[in-house]
Amino acid sequence: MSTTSSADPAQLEAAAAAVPGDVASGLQWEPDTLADLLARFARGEQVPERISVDPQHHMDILRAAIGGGEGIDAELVRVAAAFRTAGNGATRPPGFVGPWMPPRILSMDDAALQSAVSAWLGPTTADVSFRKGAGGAWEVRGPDGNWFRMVDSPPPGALPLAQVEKTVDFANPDFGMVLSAFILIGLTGGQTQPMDRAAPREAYQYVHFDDQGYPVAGPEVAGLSQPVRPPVLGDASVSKIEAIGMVQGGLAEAAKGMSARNASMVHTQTTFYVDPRTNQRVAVVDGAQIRYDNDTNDAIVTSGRLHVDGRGRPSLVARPDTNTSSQPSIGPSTTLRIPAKED
Amino acid sequence: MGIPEEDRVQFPVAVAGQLADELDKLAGLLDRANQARADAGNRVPDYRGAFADAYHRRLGTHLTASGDTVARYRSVAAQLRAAVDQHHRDRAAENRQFSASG
Repeated sequence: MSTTSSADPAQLEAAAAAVPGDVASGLQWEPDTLADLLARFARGEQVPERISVDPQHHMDILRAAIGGGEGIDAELVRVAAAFRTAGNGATRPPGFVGPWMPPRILSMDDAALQSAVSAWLGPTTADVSFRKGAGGAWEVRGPDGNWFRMVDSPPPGALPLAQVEKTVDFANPDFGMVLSAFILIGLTGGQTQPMDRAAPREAYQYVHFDDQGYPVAGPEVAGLSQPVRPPVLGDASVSKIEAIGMVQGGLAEAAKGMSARNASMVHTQTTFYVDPRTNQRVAVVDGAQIRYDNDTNDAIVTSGRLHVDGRGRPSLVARPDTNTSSQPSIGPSTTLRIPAKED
Repeated sequence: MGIPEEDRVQFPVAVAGQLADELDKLAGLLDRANQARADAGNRVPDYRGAFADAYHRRLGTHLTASGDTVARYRSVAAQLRAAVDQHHRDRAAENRQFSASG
């Protein structure tokens, strides 16, 4: 016998965002401080031993408490998204003409709801694929298997369903994510630098999209030279199509196999939402080119955009009213510095 | 003769104080997060069905576990401060003993 659940998605989203921004931000960063202090205290000499503190235990129970709360919030957002996208009455009835608003309270079969929420709980993969959807809009496939229309910025009031992070080395590129970063930059004008060292136009012919929407470099690229790094897009006159073309050129050059240390790196954050105004799935891809300092191995943003917190570290998925968000992995032994004048 | 240095009472006083403050700070943050989620759980009256029931159960379990962590952190912070105080008392006693013997 099937059972049904009902909810007001807006109520669930409000509940998911209940933790104040300063608390969420503190719980994101303070554990680093605690871990450091615990380690320092454990190294300290005690004669006689007055108190035994187990650093691992203290960190474990803290992570469990933080993770448990975040898991509850995330599930609320995903349940709300399921109601918004698949709940009874969530979408305009077929053939209905005229002003229409979905009812506040939606219902949904529990089996469908279980399936929709469970789809987010599988192993997180950094492999993101793209396609051109209806009307030619680019779409990115979410971890739940659904397609999300790429948009420039998070919808007002929307909470993130998930975020996928990826750092791409152009000497060993993951084509899908490289493409995402540069489509973003081309679409949004996320940079202010002029185009720089774009691949020669003849390089474009060697890169093709396969059936899945991935750009594929052919074996012919071996004979090409220049540039030594992928194109930097951002000239306001560069159209989306041109931008994609230049990305292809950059990929072709990258595919030739450049020195990993000298090649540009791209860090991307793809964040998935359901727009509460339209109940449509959308995604925002942020990307930035980074380079590694030869001496310190720090990752330094050279162009593009990434959300960062007040400490200059990449931030987690932003709540609508804060700038806090999840800590991306930039790479081992690296930190991310954001130049003062980026945007 | 005084007490050999290796036998004198020792305690990482400075880092113990910082650690106690940090534990209290995190306990406070967890406490506020717990309160916010508990309140939020009372503000979803239209969420009904098996999923809603599971959410409320899970929330209750989380709040209990997280509350235990808050209590644990505050307890350890208090123990650290007590240990610092005890260290200062012991060190003062040592100094008095040293002075008397000298």
